[in-house]
Amino acid sequence: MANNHAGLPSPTLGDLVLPKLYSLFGIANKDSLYGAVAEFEDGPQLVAAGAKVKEAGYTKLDALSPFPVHGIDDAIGVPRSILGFIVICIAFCGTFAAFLLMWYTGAYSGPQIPGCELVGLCSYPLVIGGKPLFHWVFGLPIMFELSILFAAFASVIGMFALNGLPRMHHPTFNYSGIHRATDDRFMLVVEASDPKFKAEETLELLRSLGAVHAELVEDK
Amino acid sequence: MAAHNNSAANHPLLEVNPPLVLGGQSYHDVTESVSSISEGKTPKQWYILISITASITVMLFGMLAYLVANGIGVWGNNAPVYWAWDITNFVFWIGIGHAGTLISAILFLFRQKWRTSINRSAEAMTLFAVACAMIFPLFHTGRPWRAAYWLGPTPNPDLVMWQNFRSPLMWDVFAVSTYATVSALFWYVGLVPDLATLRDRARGIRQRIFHIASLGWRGSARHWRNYEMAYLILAGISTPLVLSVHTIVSFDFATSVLPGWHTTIFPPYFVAGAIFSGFACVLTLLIIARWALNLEHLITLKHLENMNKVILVTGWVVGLAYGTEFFIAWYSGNPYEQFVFINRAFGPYAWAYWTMISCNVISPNFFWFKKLRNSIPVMFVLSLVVNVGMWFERFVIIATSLHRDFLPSSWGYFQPTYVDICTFIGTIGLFLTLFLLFCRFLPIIAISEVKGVLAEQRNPGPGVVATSKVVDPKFEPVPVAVGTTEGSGH
Amino acid sequence: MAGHHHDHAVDSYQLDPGKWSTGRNVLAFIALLSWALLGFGYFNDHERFFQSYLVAFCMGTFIILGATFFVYVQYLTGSAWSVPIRRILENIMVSIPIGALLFIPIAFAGVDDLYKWAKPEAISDALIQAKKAFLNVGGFRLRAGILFALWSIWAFAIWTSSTKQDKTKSIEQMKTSSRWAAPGLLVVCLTGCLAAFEWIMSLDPHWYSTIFGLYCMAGGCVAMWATVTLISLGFRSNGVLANTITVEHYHDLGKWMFALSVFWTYLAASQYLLIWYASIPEETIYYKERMHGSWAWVSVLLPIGRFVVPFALLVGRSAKRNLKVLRIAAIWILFMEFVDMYWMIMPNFHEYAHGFHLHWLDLAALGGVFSVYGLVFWSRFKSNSLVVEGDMRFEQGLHFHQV
Repeated sequence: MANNHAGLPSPTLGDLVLPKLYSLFGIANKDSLYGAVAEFEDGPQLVAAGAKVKEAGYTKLDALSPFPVHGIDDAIGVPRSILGFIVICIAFCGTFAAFLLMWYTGAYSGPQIPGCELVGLCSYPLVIGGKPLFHWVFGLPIMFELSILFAAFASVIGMFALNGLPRMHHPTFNYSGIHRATDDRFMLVVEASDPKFKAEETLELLRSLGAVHAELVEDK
Repeated sequence: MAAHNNSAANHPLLEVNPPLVLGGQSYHDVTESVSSISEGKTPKQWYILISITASITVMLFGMLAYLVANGIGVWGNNAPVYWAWDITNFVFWIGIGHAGTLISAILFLFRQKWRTSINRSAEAMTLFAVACAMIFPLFHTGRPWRAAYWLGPTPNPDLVMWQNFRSPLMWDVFAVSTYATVSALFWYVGLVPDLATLRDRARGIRQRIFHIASLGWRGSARHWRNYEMAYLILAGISTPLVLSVHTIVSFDFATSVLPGWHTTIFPPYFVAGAIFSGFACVLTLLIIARWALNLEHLITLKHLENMNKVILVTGWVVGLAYGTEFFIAWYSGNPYEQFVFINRAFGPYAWAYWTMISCNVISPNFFWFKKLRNSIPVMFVLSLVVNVGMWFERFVIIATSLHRDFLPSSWGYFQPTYVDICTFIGTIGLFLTLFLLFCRFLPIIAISEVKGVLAEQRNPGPGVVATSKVVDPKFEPVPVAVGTTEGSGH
Repeated sequence: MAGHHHDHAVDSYQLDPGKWSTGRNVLAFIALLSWALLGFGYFNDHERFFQSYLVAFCMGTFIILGATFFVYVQYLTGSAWSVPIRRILENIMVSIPIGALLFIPIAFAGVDDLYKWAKPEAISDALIQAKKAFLNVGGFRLRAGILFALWSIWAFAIWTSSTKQDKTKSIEQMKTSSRWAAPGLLVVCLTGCLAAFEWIMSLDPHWYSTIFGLYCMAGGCVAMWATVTLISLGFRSNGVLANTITVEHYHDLGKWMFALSVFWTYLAASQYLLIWYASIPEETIYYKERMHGSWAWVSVLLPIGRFVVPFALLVGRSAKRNLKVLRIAAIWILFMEFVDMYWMIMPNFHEYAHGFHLHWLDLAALGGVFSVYGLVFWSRFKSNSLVVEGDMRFEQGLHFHQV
């Protein structure tokens, strides 16, 4: 979407980064047609319309809704989230970090890292209560807690990152009835970068699918 | 597929499964009734209530300042009861918080749709309860500003040594701080779509604030896809987390060799107790909130009745745990174990023990009766009684095991000082103050989730009873153009 | 899921008599063979007979208690996803009365072979004498009778009402069942823990752990879901209920096996951690005995087999929707339930103190107990519906979809 002129040489770093910076701070990127937005009254109509538009050969589709509408992902072709995989990997990093913390501070007695005593980072093995210096049994609670903590951060930060948020400006905010997308209306978005997109024809298709309102949206 | 829809408004299943969102409401009505609370003028009652709770909070700060200035001696803790109200209050507040996570995470995984009207306030309650809980261990260190490097995994410049990770108290630090962090993240993730809703209704600076707070959320299908996955993962990890937190709290006691503390059932027993007391506390707050903010059509009697059922079940689980402990104390053949349990029931703290039994084991049984489960005054009183009982449970476990040492020469009896009492009352004030602020400024009901339930009522799947025509006679819907009704989607 | 459905080919909810007879014949053959072997084993080595028999009996009975618990839970929560498989659970639940018959060899012939507190030497053990009010043969038999009576009364009350609903399709039976389910939940929790204490924990009358009952119940519950998964898959491969129990339902069966494996691990780890940490000799003896010789290998296998393997197999969404993976996971879970029971029971007998010793009687006892329970379970399918077709939520459960 950053560069929709087919045939141009690959985009420069500036082409990739600047639009992201602009949108992060709420500055419009450039004046161009973003796409068409159509408004529906309930979820099932949105799903039905989305499926029809996809059937008609459109690929760059999105939907805006006040709550997750079930079936829309299949209807407009949104793949399943990859978040789960990311979270599992980071959770195991948490387990390992906890193990390293407890083992190094309490059980490591090899050579110390030079200078670590200046910042208090030396390991300090000490027998307390006749317990071993390190044992997986007493390590369990903290290894578990840190896995959870890492997983929680991974899922929240990962979710926002995959969504491209925070993003203060987005072309769909220019749609006249956008404030109802978080209230009681269901919007279907067809991007202008879609190869099949032809402004009037697309609008006509959307209207014929039962949209209560449909209009073109500028990226300004 | 209309043949599969049992669309009749008088379908027999409605008797046991009444609709969760009453009043033939549209999506817009839901937005309106929740958002208007934070958009309208502040009611006078709110000012009156918060001035009372804020004064109590000021008392809390006064007591804490007094404690810091004079030392832990201002509390009643002394040999042999070195742990007393401080840890009792800590466990009590953590337990209160657990219901919030239970409602938001576990009931979500179990697809219990009735949670949607109450999960937001329950999650907020979790955060505030954990904040109150953390005050006690922090101030029990005497020098809370040093707690960061005494308790956190930081090198300690005083002793040039590390924390003892073999200590259950260190596990507690990790468990409780992880719990606070994850609960805050979960709460925030749930809030984001609703903050966007508030943004789209607001103007000027308010709009900007909500726009930033919602990170520019626009409800794209691609957002929801990752959002639902993140929510599922957070629910999935919060469930073992909430179990682990009270488990680790129970380890504070159960890893010791003290009779009455060292017993293997403590982990699940503490978790059940936490759910029990937490549900009672959510119930207390919800009864007040739905009355004060006119939310009867969103928080229905069905929600409250379900909570009463959970209280009944968990009350019995706690009762079974008491029974198991007693039985095994006898069965162990260990005279010290046997002494502790006889002493609990008939010793100097018998009054506390029988308060606990009557509040926790006997009182929930009123909820066997449908009439009482559906009576607001009865459930309000019982929810308070359960909270009292669960506070006493922790007190009984802590004080009765400590006050009779192995050496009779060091036996004692704990009595709280006024600082103990005022600090505890102060945390109740802090908790209520934070809750009132939350009620006033943020959407106290998860708008987008309630709409999801409403969508299912409007467009029920095959075999699901359509309930969109069931209208609460007391509720006047705001006239808004409404789309199709039930069943058309199939 | 709106706007998206498959045309379900309608299954027959009545088991074809031919298939039913084949099932009965297979079970009857296993029963005859196993009991013939068991009879031979009894006269050959009656101590080993009782030891193997106790392992198999406890495994089978705790699976049934798990089914009982979850039938109650499903009535109380009004769950829709489980409606198409609930009859399988109900039929497992209602095979409990025959357990009283299966318990007779233990209660009347094997009790003094198995339990130290019932042996004549117990008279000189002061600790056992102090527990005599509980650990005595008369009380052992009486309590077992009461437990089986309670379980049977509750099971029949709910099962009768459920099968009646197949015909009436009325909400009244649902209400009746819910009324039984609420107190039933308490009864099964209390009595299940008690059964674990006296049938398994009292094998070592000196040792005690308050979490032990829950541990056995959790093990039974996870094995029960594995059993239900295997029965459903067995039905499926014979063309029974193939369109009724869909991958959406298998997904939830997978979730339950996963969640309860984690829950079992939680209870097992709590028990181990607390006993390890406090390090009181009276308590650590339980684990010390199980670290001797080849038992140490079983002790290592247990957390791997009951946690790591099911966790790794079932953590992914696609795995829970893959029937081959589910079948492997379910078989493995059942095997591990057996290993767990074996590990709890066998080291208590002095002849195996230094290591486990497999015996053909172990297999014969499993065959004997499971075929008898299985025949009773199977007999319920002869004239009754395979599903709770009268349940108000049946249609909803049939069309259930994972989000």
